Amino acid sequence: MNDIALETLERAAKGDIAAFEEVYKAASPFVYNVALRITCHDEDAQEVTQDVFMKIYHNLKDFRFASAFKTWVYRIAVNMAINHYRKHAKEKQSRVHNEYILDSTPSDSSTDEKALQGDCEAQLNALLNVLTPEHRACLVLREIEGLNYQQMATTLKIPVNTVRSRLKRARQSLWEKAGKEPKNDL
Amino acid sequence: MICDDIKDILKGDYLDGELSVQEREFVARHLAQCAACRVFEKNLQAQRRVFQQAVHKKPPVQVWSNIQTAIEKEQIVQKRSVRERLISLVEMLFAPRPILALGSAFAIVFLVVTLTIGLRPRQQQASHAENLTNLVSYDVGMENSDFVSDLGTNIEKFLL
Repeated sequence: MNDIALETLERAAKGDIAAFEEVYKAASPFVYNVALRITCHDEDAQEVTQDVFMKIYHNLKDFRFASAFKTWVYRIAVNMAINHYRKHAKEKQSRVHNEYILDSTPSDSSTDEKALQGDCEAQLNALLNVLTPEHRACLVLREIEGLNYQQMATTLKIPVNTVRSRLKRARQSLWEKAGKEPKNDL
Repeated sequence: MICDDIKDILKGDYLDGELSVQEREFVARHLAQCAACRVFEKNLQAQRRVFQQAVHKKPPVQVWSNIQTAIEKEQIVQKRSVRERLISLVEMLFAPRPILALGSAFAIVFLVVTLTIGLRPRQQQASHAENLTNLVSYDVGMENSDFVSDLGTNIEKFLL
């Protein structure tokens, strides 16, 4: 997420829609992608993105800039995506494997590239579906968004050691589900 | 046992680049000797690549349109609610209310009755005093003048 000027944030906090659009442009790719990877569904990710930005709009005037704006947005996005996923988990179970997300990709790539991209998306989706929402959030923040342990700890409001152990457990789950872990340990 | 420890490190700090140079060298020496841990490490790296190759998608344009519409609606509602609150306050102050009207009517009637009753003896006393004054002045006038006798006489004199 690109840095946003303090002046822009202040204008947005006062209800200036043009300034808020700048905030949206800077933060929405992160919010949308995190929501997409945690909910595993395009429409849900759009809904979460809207909810996240409405929440930011409502709370921006009370944001004291004590913490970084980025971290604040990360936290809202992750929490709302996890909550949304939990709320709709049951009704989604049937559709998750069938529907997935290529429609919204702004791409002019060729058909082959699209197919390849579709394979990658399908693989990623298969891996994500193995994980709990918390483990998804950890892996997405680390592997896709590139946050370090400390940034993840601040975003998720958990100790660094918890971040470390969650990442290990998530990777262990992926390994076990893939059936590649030998039953008898070496 | 050492493989368990190495796998634990591989899943965490090794993959995330959090190891010191010495720790990394130690893991590398083990991987060079242990085929099973090499397979484990390769698989971890392969899974990781799936995540890292994920396409960063842009949210569809309609998402911002929906947010913008929602914000604008809220702003209109807020403005309207401020105006409406002012109007309703004014209406509340000036609106005829049955209980208030009835109360006011009773108060007015009470006031009128009270004032009427309260003023009547004073008026009577005042008019009585005026009568007495008139009578006294009349009497005094009568004593000081010979109005009755003069009336006829003077006219008669004048006429004659």
